[in-house]
Amino acid sequence: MSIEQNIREISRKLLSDGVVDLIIGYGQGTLPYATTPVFIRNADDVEQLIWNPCCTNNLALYVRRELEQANKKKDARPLKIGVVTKKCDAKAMVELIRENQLKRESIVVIAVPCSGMLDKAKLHKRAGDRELLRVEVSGSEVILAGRGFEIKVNRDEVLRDNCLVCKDPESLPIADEIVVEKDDYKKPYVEDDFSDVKEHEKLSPQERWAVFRAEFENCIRCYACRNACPMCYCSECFAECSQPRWLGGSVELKDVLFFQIVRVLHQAGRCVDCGACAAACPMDLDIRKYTRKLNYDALNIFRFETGVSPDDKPLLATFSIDDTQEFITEPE
Amino acid sequence: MGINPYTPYPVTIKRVVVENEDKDIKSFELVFTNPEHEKAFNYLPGQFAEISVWGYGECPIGMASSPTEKGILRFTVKKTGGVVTTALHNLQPGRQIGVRGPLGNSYPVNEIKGKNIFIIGGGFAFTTLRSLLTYLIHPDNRNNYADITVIYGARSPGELIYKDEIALWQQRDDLNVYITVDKADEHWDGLEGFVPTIAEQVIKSWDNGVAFVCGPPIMIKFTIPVLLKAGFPPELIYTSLEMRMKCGIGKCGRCNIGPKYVCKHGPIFTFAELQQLPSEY
Amino acid sequence: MKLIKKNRLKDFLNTLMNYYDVFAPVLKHKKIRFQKISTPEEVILEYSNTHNKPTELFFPQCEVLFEVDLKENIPEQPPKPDKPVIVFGIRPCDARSLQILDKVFHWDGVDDPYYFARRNNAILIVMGCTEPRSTCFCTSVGSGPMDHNGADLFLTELPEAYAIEPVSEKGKAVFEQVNDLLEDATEGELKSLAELTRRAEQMIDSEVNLNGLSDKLRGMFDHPVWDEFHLSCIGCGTCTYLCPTCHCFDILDEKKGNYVRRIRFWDCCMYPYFTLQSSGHNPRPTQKQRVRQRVMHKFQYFVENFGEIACVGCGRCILNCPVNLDIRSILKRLMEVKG
Ligand SMILES: Cc1cc2nc3c(=O)[nH]c(=O)nc-3n(C[C@H](O)[C@H](O)[C@H](O)COP(=O)(O)OP(=O)(O)OC[C@H]3O[C@@H](n4cnc5c(N)ncnc54)[C@H](O)[C@@H]3O)c2cc1C
Ligand code: SF4
Ligand code: SF4
Ligand code: SF4
Ligand code: SF4
Ligand code: SF4
Ligand code: FES
Repeated sequence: MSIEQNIREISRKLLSDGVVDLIIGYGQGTLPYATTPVFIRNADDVEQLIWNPCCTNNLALYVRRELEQANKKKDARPLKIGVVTKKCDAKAMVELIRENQLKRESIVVIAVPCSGMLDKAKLHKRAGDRELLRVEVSGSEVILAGRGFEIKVNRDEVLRDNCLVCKDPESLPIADEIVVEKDDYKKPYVEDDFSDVKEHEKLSPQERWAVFRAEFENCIRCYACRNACPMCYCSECFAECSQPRWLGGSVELKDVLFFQIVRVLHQAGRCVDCGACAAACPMDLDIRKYTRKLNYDALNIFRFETGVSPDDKPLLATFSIDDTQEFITEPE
Repeated sequence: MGINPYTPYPVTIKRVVVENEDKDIKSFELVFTNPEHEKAFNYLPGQFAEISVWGYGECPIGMASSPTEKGILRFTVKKTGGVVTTALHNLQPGRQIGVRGPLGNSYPVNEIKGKNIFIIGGGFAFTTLRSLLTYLIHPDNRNNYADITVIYGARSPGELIYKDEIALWQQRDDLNVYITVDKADEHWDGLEGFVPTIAEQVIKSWDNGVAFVCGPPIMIKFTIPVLLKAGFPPELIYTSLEMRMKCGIGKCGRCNIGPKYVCKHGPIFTFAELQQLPSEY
Repeated sequence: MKLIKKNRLKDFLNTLMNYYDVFAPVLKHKKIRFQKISTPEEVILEYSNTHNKPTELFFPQCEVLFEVDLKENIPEQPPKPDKPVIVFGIRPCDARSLQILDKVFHWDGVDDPYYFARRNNAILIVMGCTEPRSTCFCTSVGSGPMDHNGADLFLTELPEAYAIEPVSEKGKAVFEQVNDLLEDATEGELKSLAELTRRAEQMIDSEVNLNGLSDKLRGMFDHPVWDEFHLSCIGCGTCTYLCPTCHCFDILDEKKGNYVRRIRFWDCCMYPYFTLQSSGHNPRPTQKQRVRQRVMHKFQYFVENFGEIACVGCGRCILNCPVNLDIRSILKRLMEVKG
């Protein structure tokens, strides 16, 4: 049996036993490197569920949304959702539980041993930006094919960066149903030493500004990064608030800069480094660089890591007398 | 409109009238800075304009004055707590603002000649109906129309707008005026009851009439069946619709209800037209 | 029809740059998009299509409508371009999308002066698609990879040269300006052009039959099929911000001291705030309604108002939707359900 069949089997059982009302998982996409989130309410439809290394979207955001919408309706018994869950989705759900956005008992976590997701931008780059008509994964190889070309690349080299630093993707912080099947490929694990962040910190403010500028002057403010993020759930985002208006309407640097900085700051102690934002960005901007800086600070200053246990308090909701206060700067 | 449909005409606030007890509805009387602009601003009752408060933006407001009232332009604006209406409410006479328009279609003042007219309004949405009524009763126009009946109501006596004018209308013998409040207070000696209820009592048959209905959605919802029951054809019941707007000229794409753009095809629609539209407003 | 040899393309562009500001596909931060070029070397010639929509040259994401000095209170208008512009290498679908925008920005004779100042100032050198992408479905929406509609000059890449055909009067004038660089085509090259043209159309493998769709949609506003599409949609603006026919915008004032500028910038029907009224009432409160608006606007409302579909089949929304909600799948489903 494959992971995919295992997922279907579990889902079928959950639905037909009436344990859950809805399964959220991944379905067949229309592009060779894409899947699309699917919502399954009927046991007969579980064949739509698929599993492959292109299941990039973080499904936690749909789980939260569906539960919120269901709770608005007064009638019926509470909705229960089965979620096809990889480690980063699980971490996001942990954070959502901690922030009282999800009830643990509303979800059934179908824990899938993930072996890393492919990075769409890396695939395209390896194919010399030619159109990809076929992406085939076999073991540690990925075949990229298009009109008049077919190349093999090493799977390790086309994984998303956040997948490389993802530790023990088989062990999830929350799990109810375990997919026991395994991929025959084991993704490499790179100890996260935040060297990229440290490198960036070494730059002068002017240089950092230049790096930021070069990247974000290409932002089209589509908000895909925000909307793809499971942790960006505010019903009114500062970006759209009109009284007071925090943000202008332009795509001039003053506005994109402000948007990104505030979006990133709002992730402090919350971002689970799932990479959904970066994967969603149509301009392939390096958004993760900045959330990682905050993750590093959370770890470095407060020994805090997201997505570990649903029982802990969120970082921003805890205070200890021993907290370092280095970040508090005295007025000059 | 000038060459550039996005640039407003500068106008000066001449007078500000607080219209209601809650003080959140004010009428602004405006005069054009440039007489040429006044000539160019050629409008009919039912049309609207985009009002600019520099630094705050624009919002669409129906003309409350009638083109027969030369020299001034009047708008009655409710402070919603939003950006532009709040800023506007803070302005005193003498300040300059901008007016861009006229925009949208109008009440069919020519097509309805010879007919009995029913003007039915609720709350502060009486603004463009005031424009219409003022137009119809102007000495140059009054003889073109048969009977004119006005039914106007508000939540409470303090929320009725245009009180001075109502008194004048009530004195005229060529108007049937019914003013009602949802809930009377100790000083009120007029009608009490919701607009649809009063309309039902007053309007017994169609009688070659044409009706103009503006007010809160709930009032419109209950008034239209009254008119249909009295025999009004849906093509002769007019109302004014509201959608969020920006450009006012059919370009920014946000005010459509199905294929109809409220800023361009509207804001005035007949009930017959509404029946053809999706209920997404 | 004449030819411009590939090794003379540089001279061709240089000649154009003498007379015009030339915009062409360049690589800008990982993505190919149209920008003003300063040397012919910047131009990317191997591109299926640009990532960003070229309509942004005419209707930019953000522009100043006017500035007001509060002390004077007379709106001023921003300066207008004076040097004529050539857009080199725009694809047929995108050239058509400009014709679609023309209709909106000229609705009932009310011209959008900002758009038309740029539009009337520009000449389009369209490059036919000899290698269409798998997501291109231009042939399904009344066009094709070699559609000359909307072009001033039409270029087709042959093995050693580009075939160049003047299409409009404006195009003929440019044709004259570069005449020295052009050569007559040989019989073989003519044949190869005909062959390539035929092959390009056959290469479009993405067909969606849209016959009668807009009539059918007229009665389908309340159809249950609309419950099927929106669940995966995260309501980002990607599909509309990259779509060459999308034209929705917002207007806002920005104030700095005594200085106010009124700007307009793209907006999008997939956002909840798009229709939110001041009272808190929102006529389209759910993503289901917003997805329906996008589809209905392009395939029904626009047809009703302007007589054609507001989609040119460029595939940008398909390639870039972060959840792979494919407009072709939606259209196929709409065609197949009972109306
Ligand atoms: C044709 C028409 C005629 C109107 N006539 C009147 C009138 O005579 N008196 C009156 O008080 N109000 C009228 N309104 C409603 C008025 O436009 C809104 O109350 C106003 O836009 C709120 O602006 P704001 O900036 O204070 O609110 P915000 O909530 O800050 O809104 C921001 C912007 O969104 C747009 N917007 C928000 N709500 C609406 C809305 N309901 N309708 C249209 N655009 C909106 C405007 O461009 C506004 O500036 C009319 C609306 C329309 C469409
Ligand atoms: S900010 Fe990005 S990486 Fe972090 S949780 Fe959100 S989507 Fe995931
Ligand atoms: S997804 Fe990318 S382009 Fe869109 S707003 Fe975010 S950073 Fe900008
Ligand atoms: S809807 Fe999609 S395919 Fe059609 S023109 Fe827009 S981006 Fe291109
Ligand atoms: S309504 Fe939506 S689909 Fe239509 S042009 Fe505007 S943003 Fe594009
Ligand atoms: S790009 Fe996709 S997810 Fe984003 S709004 Fe469009 S359809 Fe929805
Ligand atoms: S307000 Fe812009 S299209 Fe109607």
